[in-house]
Amino acid sequence: MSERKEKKLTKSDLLRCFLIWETTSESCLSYERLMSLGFCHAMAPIINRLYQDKEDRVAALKRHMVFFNTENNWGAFIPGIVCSMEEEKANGGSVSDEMINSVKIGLMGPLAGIGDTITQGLLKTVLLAIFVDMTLKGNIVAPFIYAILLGAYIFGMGYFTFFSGYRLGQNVLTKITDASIMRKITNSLSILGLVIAGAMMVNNVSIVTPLAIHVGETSVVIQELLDSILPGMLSVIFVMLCFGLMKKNVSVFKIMIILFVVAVVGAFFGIL
Amino acid sequence: MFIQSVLVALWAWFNGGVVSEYLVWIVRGAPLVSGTVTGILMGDWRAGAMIGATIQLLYMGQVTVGGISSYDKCYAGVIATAVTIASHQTPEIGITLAVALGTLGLVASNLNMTLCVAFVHMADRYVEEGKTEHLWIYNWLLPNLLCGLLYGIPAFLAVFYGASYLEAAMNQIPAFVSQALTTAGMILPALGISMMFKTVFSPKFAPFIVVGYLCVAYLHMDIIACALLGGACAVLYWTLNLDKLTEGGN
Repeated sequence: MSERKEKKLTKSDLLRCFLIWETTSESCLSYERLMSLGFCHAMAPIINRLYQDKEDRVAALKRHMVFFNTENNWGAFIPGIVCSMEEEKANGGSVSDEMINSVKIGLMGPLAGIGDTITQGLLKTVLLAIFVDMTLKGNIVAPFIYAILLGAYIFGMGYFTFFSGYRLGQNVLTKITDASIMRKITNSLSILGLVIAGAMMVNNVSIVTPLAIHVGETSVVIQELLDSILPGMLSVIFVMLCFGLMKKNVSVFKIMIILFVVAVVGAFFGIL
Repeated sequence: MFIQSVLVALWAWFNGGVVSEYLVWIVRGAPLVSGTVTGILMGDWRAGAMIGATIQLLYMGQVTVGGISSYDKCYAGVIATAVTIASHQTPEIGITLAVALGTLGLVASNLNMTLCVAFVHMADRYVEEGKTEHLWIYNWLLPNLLCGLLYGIPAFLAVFYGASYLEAAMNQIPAFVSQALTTAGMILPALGISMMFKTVFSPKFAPFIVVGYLCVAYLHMDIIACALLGGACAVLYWTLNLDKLTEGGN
């Protein structure tokens, strides 16, 4: 005798949940509860299918109105897994409110960390580096190639994590968040990123000085002198200085102010 | 100019609010894309792409955590590009404008996230009835209407009225000031690249910075070639299981 599930989520319920998530999860981002309303909204098709009694519906909706925040591509795993938990709960399974809450709270931080690092920090940066350079060299279609590539990655990643979350539940998470695999991914991307950052340091920053020293008949152009020592030396120095300040936890805003002051002083004395 | 201003205002609205989370992911934090589209709407695709790409250099490697950012992406990407094109300024002036407008725009992003608290509370009351039909009004419609006020209207005003003032002002100011602004535009990308360093940096891989530097400074390779080389190094790291050797760090 197999246990027959009375309330089953259809493919279209899940797809609607995913699409609402992909459309509005950060529309109403508030300081108080961040993505709470977005999460609750995405759960609406699921709740409509699973719960008919008013009390159950109110309880389910309120359950998903609490503070929630994650990165919504890798984090799409969470609505996925919550769908499967809600389904089990609606069928009288031993899933309590606390379990659903603790899964949400337990996963949102780690997945946001992975998502922010890999998507925003590494992948997006590397893609931008390539296509900014192409654009500045005169290829004005390049921005759209970037848009298509990033768009494909984001949709693919979101779809994959959402449905893995629903189908495979928590088991797959140990695989996704396996520390050694994550370290391998971030390390590989870090190598790629550093090569590109090193290249962009001279390719896309061009800080030059108009200074020249005149001694009698001969004049020494400082920029030529610097370039013969190390090409793009001033750019390298400035990037390294900014990086050093950032490592000392000086805020980006303060560094901007410092750079402005340097620019004004440099321009005034004809140094930069 | 009126029609362009309206188009840019609509585009700014789209970038500032979240009409579609998925599409916004592609344009948000990417002045490269949002600036290029702004250029197309203003009738100058090339200028938009150049200004957008230059502004992008400043915001390379920016990671937004928990919706908190050090600049407003719509003001820095869309409005700054539009104003730069409309007032016929160079990309170097554009990047300085992006800093100013991006910082000013934080008022809009903060107001947005503060006022959205009210919509969440309205939704709190609504779900007490156990209904879901109108959730989209609180979660999507109202926040996006709010963003029309916070992003669309300022964008319209900045392009329709602001640009001509800026152009007049830029013609009036002493050469020294405009020289200083251009110098700032020349230096600021250094900050963007250093932010990129911060996101990808790992002490044990630091020599790869030198690899990238050598490729451009001495071998004059372009970025795609560098990306292929870096990609090859990354794949080697993976396939040779070099992580076993670097165990212990991150």
